[in-house]
Amino acid sequence: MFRNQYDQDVLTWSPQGRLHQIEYALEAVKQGGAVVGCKVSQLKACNATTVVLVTLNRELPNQSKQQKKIFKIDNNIGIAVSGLASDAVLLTEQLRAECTKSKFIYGSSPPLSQLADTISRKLQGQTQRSSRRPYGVGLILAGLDNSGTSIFHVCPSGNLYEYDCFALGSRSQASKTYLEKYIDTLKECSRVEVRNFKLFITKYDIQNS
Amino acid sequence: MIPSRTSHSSSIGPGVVPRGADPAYDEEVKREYDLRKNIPHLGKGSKGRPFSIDPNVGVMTRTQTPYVTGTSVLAVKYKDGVLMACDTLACYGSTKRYKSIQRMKLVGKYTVVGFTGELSDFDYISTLLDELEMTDFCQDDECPRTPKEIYNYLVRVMYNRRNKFDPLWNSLVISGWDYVEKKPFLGCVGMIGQHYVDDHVATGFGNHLARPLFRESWKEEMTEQEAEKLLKSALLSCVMRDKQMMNKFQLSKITADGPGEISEPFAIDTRWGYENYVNPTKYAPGAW
Repeated sequence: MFRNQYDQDVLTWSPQGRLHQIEYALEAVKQGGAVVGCKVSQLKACNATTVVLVTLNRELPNQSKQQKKIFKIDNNIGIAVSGLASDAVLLTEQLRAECTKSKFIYGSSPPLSQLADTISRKLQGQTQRSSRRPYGVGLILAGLDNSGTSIFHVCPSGNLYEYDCFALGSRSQASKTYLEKYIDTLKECSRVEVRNFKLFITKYDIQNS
Repeated sequence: MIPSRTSHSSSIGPGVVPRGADPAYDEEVKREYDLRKNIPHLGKGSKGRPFSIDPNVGVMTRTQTPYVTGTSVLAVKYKDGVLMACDTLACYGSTKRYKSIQRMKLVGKYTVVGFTGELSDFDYISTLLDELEMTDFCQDDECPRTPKEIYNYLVRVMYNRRNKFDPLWNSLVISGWDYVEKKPFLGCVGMIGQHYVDDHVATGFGNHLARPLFRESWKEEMTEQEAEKLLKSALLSCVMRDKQMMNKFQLSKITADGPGEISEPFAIDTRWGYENYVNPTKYAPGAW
């Protein structure tokens, strides 16, 4: 099924109108550990004012440190990654550079939608060059800016989706279902309850692995 | 080994070659030199070689003086927003040449930028601000640039031009409503990148004539009427003392409620009926 003559490079279209290399890149994201992002509120009966990122890190030998899947981009922006870790590091560098640039010129962090746009454009650029390959990492970009909290899902294809809550990575379907069921209560719970939910979500993942 | 100037790209100009090392190059330099003979610091006996980014252009001229200028801009914060006032005159030296210039510009919904100094440089700045507005529009989210961000951006622009020894000959006043922090914003940027934020600001002659009045009478949480009265008294002081100002003003107001407005031109009442103006030379020595 995956062996066809149209998947040699990212510049070749298949007769069905697909770019197989990009789809393979999306598979790489699915191989990474589960990652969940969700908007919650700090106080009951308030607009969502916080976002939570939870990651399920892979089991590694006892001697090694925990794998890093959440990166801080700015004081109010963070990402959780799933996929090729080295690609993720590159993307965090680019995101941080964008934030620094905006702080230098305008005196404040960029609005999240603008940051997401910039980074998704960069990812798209990788899919249209013969000498490059798509990044093999999917990001959940989450943060708080002047227009409120946002969660963005950035794909290796350069697509950008905005969510209230989202899960990414291997065996994340369970978390997605859970989030869909409980999104309204999640939006209104306090900090302590969020922690409980976090555990529930990851528990679902582990249960189904 | 004689440093060869082919090791430099010609686009960055001549490299440093010691005199006598390359006679052909010396000829070239001498020719260029003669073009700039009258520049004092590059005179006879000067060891400095003229440097230019693009050797084909020859002598590069920078903005040395402004030509068509606007005078002071005054602005005060009050409880619900900011008021800015300036006249509608652009002078050509001493001549009051263009009498209907709007010296303030609305940027987006919440900011007004006013200028003192060279009109054409502000035109260029207007283009940059239009581009900012355009990107905000294309971004299509609910966070357009706040006045503070526009102020920071203009600081960067002015400072960068100053670093290239080609300043934009303007002092800018940026006023607006910060919809994030829900407060009025007022800042000032000069042509060498000096910038500050304050409750009341004046550029040009206004610094000397209006600022003392502001310092004396401005208080926190003024109403709009009080602020307007303060501004108009400052405008009176300016127009009666500044020869490059005319009695035709525009007032701009920015509040939380919505687009800033720039008023129609108006005049203020000036008094010239002072006793000493009736016969000004009466007590002057040598007069009859």
